Amino acid sequence: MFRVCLFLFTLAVVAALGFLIFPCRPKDIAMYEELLQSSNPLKKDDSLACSQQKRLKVCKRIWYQDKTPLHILIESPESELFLLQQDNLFEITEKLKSVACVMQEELYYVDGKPMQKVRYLEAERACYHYHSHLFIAEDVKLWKFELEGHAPPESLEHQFPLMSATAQTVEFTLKGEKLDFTAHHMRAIFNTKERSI
Amino acid sequence: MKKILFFLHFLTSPLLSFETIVESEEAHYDGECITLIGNVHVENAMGTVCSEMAVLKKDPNHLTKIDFPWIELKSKIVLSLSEGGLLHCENLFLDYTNMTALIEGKPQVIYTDSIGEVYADRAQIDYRETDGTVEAVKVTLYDHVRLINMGTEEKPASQYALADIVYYFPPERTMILEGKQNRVLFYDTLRDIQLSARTVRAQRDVITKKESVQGLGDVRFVFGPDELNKIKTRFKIDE
Repeated sequence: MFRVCLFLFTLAVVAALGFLIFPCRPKDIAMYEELLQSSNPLKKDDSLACSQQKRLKVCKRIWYQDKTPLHILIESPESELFLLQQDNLFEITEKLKSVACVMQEELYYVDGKPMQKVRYLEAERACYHYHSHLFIAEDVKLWKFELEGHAPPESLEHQFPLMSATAQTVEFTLKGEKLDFTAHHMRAIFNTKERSI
Repeated sequence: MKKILFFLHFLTSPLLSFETIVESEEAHYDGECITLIGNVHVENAMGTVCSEMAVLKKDPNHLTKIDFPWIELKSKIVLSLSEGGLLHCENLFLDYTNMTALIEGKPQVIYTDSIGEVYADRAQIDYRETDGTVEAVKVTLYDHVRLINMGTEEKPASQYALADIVYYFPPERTMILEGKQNRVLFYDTLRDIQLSARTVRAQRDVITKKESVQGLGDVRFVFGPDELNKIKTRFKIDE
């Protein structure tokens, strides 16, 4: 019994000394609260997380529904995929180098014969935003072709371009009913046959 | 007037065998319309045209030979022809389906070249397509029309005309000047010819190349004081 009392007494003394030597000040409480907040990922205010992945021989095939399904092929020898997280929001973007993109623009018939307009672009750099389906290319060379058939073209070699152009940037979004296409600081040369533009 | 017709060929030249260069700060295509915004510059062998904006509307059913048969140029349009003519206007609408070009000025459509000057509030050009080329068949100038013909070095002239409407038929080389609320005034200062009439018909014979000017309807060969003053004021003619 005596030993138990002695132990409890010693404990009380040590605790009292502890409070005297290491007092719990308001500053410490605030620091503690701050640590508690930062350790909770759901309550972060300015948290920013980023992870990335390198990809090689990138090839994206996208079917876009216009009046008819249109095929878009984006190729790049290498890209970097970025996943950014801020305030529980995720943004996934892919930065591509030396991009080539073949886009079916329109499928139609001339005298019963299937025809298509195809856009081909090459860019030094491009960025694809997965959330908004926005594609932005920089330092762009652009060509436009009129081809027979409705199947996605396998090669555009030896084809006569109706138009060749350069642009500082080209952007299009695959979200929405129409394929909106915007070029900045564009210079286009129309090689005139019929149906030139 | 001959040179102004180049304007038509210029705008329709994508039909023909010309390489055409188009530049703009922004180009937007939504599948139906191409919209060019900011420093729009179109150039081919016939000349250059600059404007602030251009809208090309698509032929969705491929009924015409060209994909974008409706072309509209807007704001501060300056057309410079390689032959030397210069056209200033505010709006220009080219309709390939109706074979017309409508031109509006702010306040006036102004055409100048080494031979003369043409002023009108608006103009319409009707044309036809033959053998793959575009040919203007009628040019109509509307409202507050002023014409100046200074001739060439070989054949100088000093002719001035005021009219409400002017019709020019290029194939026939015939020009008809009409007055609606005002009389047509024609003044040749070199030959000292004054002509005031309801209608004036000017024609150039294709074979003899002789020009004839004919007044129709209540014709007077001497201007009234107001008429002389009006033509001198409008053209700033000093004697």
